[in-house]
Amino acid sequence: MCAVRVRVAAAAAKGEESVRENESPDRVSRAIDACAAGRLEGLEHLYEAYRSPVFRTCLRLLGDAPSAEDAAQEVFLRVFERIGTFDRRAAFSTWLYRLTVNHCLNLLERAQRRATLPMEDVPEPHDPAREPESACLRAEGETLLLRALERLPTDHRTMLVLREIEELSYREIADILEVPVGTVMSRLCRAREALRRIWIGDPPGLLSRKAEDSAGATGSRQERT
Amino acid sequence: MTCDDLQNDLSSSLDGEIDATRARGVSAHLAVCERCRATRAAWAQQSALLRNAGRRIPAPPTWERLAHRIDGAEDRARHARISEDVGPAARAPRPAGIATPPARAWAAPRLGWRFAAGAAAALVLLGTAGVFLLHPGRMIGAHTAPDAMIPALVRQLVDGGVRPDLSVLGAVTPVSWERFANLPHDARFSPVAPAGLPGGYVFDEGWVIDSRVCRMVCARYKKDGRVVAVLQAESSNVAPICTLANPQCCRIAGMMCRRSRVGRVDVVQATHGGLALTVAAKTGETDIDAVMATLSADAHLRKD
Repeated sequence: MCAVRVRVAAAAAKGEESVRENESPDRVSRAIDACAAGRLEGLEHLYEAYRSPVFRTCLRLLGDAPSAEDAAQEVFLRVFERIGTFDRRAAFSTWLYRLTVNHCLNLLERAQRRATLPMEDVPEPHDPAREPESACLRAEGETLLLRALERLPTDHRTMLVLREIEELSYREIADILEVPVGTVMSRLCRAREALRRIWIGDPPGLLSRKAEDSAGATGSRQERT
Repeated sequence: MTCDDLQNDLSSSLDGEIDATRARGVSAHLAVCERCRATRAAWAQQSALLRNAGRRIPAPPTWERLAHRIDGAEDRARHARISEDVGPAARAPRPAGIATPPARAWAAPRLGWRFAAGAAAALVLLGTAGVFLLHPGRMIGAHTAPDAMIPALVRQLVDGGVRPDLSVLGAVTPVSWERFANLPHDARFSPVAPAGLPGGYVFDEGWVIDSRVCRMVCARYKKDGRVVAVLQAESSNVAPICTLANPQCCRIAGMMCRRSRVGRVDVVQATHGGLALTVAAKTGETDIDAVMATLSADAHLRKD
């Protein structure tokens, strides 16, 4: 019951954001113009319209709220700084997501040089026999899943955040990441399987077995070389 | 079609991002392959959970916090310009940990008064204490120009969206409320009420700062999620010189019971017995007199 309410609330939240953007393209356009003219009220409008998806993307890519807050603010500062480079050929949201993802990936790259995940943070393997039967178990499962998401390589995590959480289309993701749609398709597939392996702790599935075979072959080639 | 060949299509079919021909191929394969059915079901369950969990987030930061940060960027840009105007001798090196301002010149005219307010408040709030700690031998007067780092430091303290870099003052140890409220008996600063002050001020973050000459305690309080007060006090008599808690020092510095209101920021500095405190708050967002009265009440202060 609780989970149903959560889903409804999530759907409502997304709907609200979409409506805001779709119902007032002129307002968004005017806000972009104002922003380009250096007027803060333009940035304020864009911030109010898009702060939730930007913050959510930062949070799911970076993994902690304080860093996500800083990053989200930094993204909007960059919007104000670089709005002149937005050529309006793509949707503003695409451009904004690109700024957001790139900023977060830069932060992660820097952080990766400094820290590694301690062993105690590795989630316990999920017991398939314990399917979520109550809200409590479901919440536990979701927590483990989010922790597993944080353990994914950044390219996999990015794909899953943009598709599963932000619910963007393959075309939008391709535009944001500036890669072909086919690449989105294959990366997303690998990301799903990688997440499943960490979350469920299952033996390697088809894809991972294939990847391991491929890695083994590569390793052999390297040894031979 | 083998299972390996099918994986991308299997994933795309979950998202409806597959054409009809390939979708039929997927369906046909799933009808005969139990393993791929299980994989698809696991991905579907995982997607649903991730969507639910991933979209539940805390409230994003408010526009005011971003505006505050823009103010700070404008201040830094202006300060840099002023320093350049004065000449190389007046330029101080930028301390580590303070954000580099964006390349854009933040020159919106309507923000000008905020710079004046921030700079003046900064001078009153931490200018004396910060410079005193860094240069204990110097006598600080009201007309002393602030060090370049001080305004930025104060803004970081008052801006709830930024974790202040207090390391310029000494070795910094973040303290939780539990530790903050149970500092050793030689602490002269005793927080007033559990985790909060009257009026809904809630303890946000606290730090113990061991400078070269003394130990300081600094705490940030929030109300309705926004920083409204920053308290600062001596917490040790290890080296009771050059701290705000030393009335003699405060007198020399012209800081005894000083209050000013600059723009939207109210700043009060006062000493009370062994306690010295600095309170900064935005006008209209807090009753600064209530905070002062509470903190000044003997019943709430533990003295040596």
